Amino acid sequence: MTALDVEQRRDEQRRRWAVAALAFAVVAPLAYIAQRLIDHALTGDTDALSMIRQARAAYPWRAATAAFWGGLAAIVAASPATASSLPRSHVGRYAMAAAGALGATVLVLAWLFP
Amino acid sequence: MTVLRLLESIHGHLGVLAVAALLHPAILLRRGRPLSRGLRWSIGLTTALVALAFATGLTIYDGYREHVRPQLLLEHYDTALLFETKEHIAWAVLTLALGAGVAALVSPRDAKAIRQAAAAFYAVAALLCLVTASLGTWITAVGGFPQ
Repeated sequence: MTALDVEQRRDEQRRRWAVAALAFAVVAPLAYIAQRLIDHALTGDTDALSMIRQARAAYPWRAATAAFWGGLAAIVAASPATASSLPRSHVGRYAMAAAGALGATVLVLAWLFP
Repeated sequence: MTVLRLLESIHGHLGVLAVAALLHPAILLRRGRPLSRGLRWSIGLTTALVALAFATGLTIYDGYREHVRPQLLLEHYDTALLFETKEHIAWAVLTLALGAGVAALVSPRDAKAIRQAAAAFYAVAALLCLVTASLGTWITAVGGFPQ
């Protein structure tokens, strides 16, 4: 194996890690939103008194669960099979579109389902 | 001033600083050029600042639930709901900044598209962070920790 091969392999590995990080950034907030929507569907609109009576702080658990799903998505995205199936020139464009859509979705849903 | 009040103030200041800090890599990464040493520092410090702002928020979360939230829910219900909105958006800011930071730092020299995507993630994170900081300022003005 030549020095060039080693460098190419290292670059490919770094590219996979970068895509994995972007996958985490997209999936973790989506997993959080999904949990919040499920909570809302199960409990409906809550009033002030029932919110005060809540014994458990849901937020850290919800965030930790979302981080788990984000981590899982990152592992899948970093796998060689996924990386080779992604068209390299489109990854950036997909990620930019995902960032915009994600920002709008988070804002709207956080506002509608506080 | 109580410790919780002090931490609340630090959390707020870090949040506002994070808005400005997130804009820096969003602008500098937009062309997708390979990272200079200065930009590496900028990305690292921005990510650390966002994480610190989030962490200080978590440290006062239990105190907020115990001392502030009940009163706020009873007297200013709409503002109390804005806090819930703020915490949802804050999670997205943290994950976007972390993902963009790692992606930009590990991307190889020829991965221009990935760095441009990271710039877009930073820009969205900055916008969401601005909303979070604004909501936080408003909520604290209505009802924060007692002096």
